[in-house]
Amino acid sequence: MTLQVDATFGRGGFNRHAAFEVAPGAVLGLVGANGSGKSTLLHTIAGIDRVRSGRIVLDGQVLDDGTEFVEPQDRRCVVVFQDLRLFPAMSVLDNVAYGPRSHGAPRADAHARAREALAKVGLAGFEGRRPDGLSGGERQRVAIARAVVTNPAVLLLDEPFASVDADSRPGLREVLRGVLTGSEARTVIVSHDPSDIADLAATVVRL
Amino acid sequence: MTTRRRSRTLTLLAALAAAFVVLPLLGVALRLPWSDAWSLATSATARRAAWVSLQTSVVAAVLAAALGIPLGWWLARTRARGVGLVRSFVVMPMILPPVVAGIALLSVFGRSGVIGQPLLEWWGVSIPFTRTAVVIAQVFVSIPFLVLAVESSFRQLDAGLEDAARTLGASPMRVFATVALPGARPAIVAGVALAWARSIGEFGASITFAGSFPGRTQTLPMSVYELVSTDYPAALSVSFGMMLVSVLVIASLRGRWMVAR
Repeated sequence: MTLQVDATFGRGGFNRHAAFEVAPGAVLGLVGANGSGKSTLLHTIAGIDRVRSGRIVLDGQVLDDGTEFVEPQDRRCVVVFQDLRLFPAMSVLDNVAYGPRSHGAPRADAHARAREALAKVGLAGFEGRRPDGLSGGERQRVAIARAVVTNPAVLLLDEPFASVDADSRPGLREVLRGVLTGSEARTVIVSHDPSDIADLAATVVRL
Repeated sequence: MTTRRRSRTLTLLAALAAAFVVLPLLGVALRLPWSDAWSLATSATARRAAWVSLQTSVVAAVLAAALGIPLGWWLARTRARGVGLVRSFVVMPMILPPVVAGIALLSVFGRSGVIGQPLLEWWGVSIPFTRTAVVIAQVFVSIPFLVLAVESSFRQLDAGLEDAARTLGASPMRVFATVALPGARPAIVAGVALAWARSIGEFGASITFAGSFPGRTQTLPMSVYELVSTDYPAALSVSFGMMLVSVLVIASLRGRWMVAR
């Protein structure tokens, strides 16, 4: 029941190998310098990029081994992107409800779940706002809510503290801790600064 | 000093170019029989032609959008060999002589054409010289404007948003409908307006493929063409009306077709 990564990934002339496993509810930290391929690895797990060789397996099912390939929308591997990628034309509520709606939830149900997720990250009352009217920390929390509301099998967090100023970091850390506690997702959290994730991730892999 | 002089020459040439475009437009206004213009432009012939033009161009713009938006999307997001070739063919109607376009359509939809013959033999349907033919000709000549406008807009959209949508569980169709289409909306509006305007002005392809039958296939440009030799003041009046429509389209777009870049 784990996420197993044993793959070479990268684009163009850039190649790197990573091998690790993450069990349900576990949090793996992934550290490495800028340009070490951390984001590319997350994108490869999510199915946005493809493996060069090796394989990515989830619960015994091959997601990508160079021949077999599960489309990103069928993986339940959700990314909180470093650049967040909130939908600029949608309200905060519609951003967070997007995943449940995509999985076929009726509108009212999706909205109810989105409200709940927003409350969980401390953004109750922000439902009608637009992403561009929010602070960096608030946007980051919307992105987290949008990801966890889908109950992902794999949660991939790319530099969650990068776009947040020092004052908001402790609050965001609490939000993340709250979200990860009791979650059944296999979580991979990426950072260039090991101290950022030391208290969140039980194991740390260096890339 | 040389730069000064050169720039003065350029200014002069630019003014000449502008005058070259503006003068004929003004010329119509100057020669227009103002007192009778309204009655001439709304004569029974002109009204019939206007009705045909309006009907066909609106249907053509809707069809161009329905077909052109998916094609623009495909051109923007496909990285396969041959995409450039497809694009070259799609923009061809822009530079193809309209009469040639009409001949080309006749050769396909005519009695012995690859589509025309089975249509006639199996269902007894003949397309040339009907109002449907007018619409087909208009779609043919106007669809490149729409495809180019929406393609460049899709291309400028952040593909990262589409990736994000997919990881959240959205099918490619849903990604297209919820992320790509709203992002390209300004370009779609501009593309539809341009395609519609091009359809309203279509003459060469339609008269070749559909003929100029009053009340059936005769559009405004065709009626102007016939009026030139029979009733010049009426031709001027209808032309002036069409010019006003063009000005309205350009004014309402306010340079937005520039998204094509």
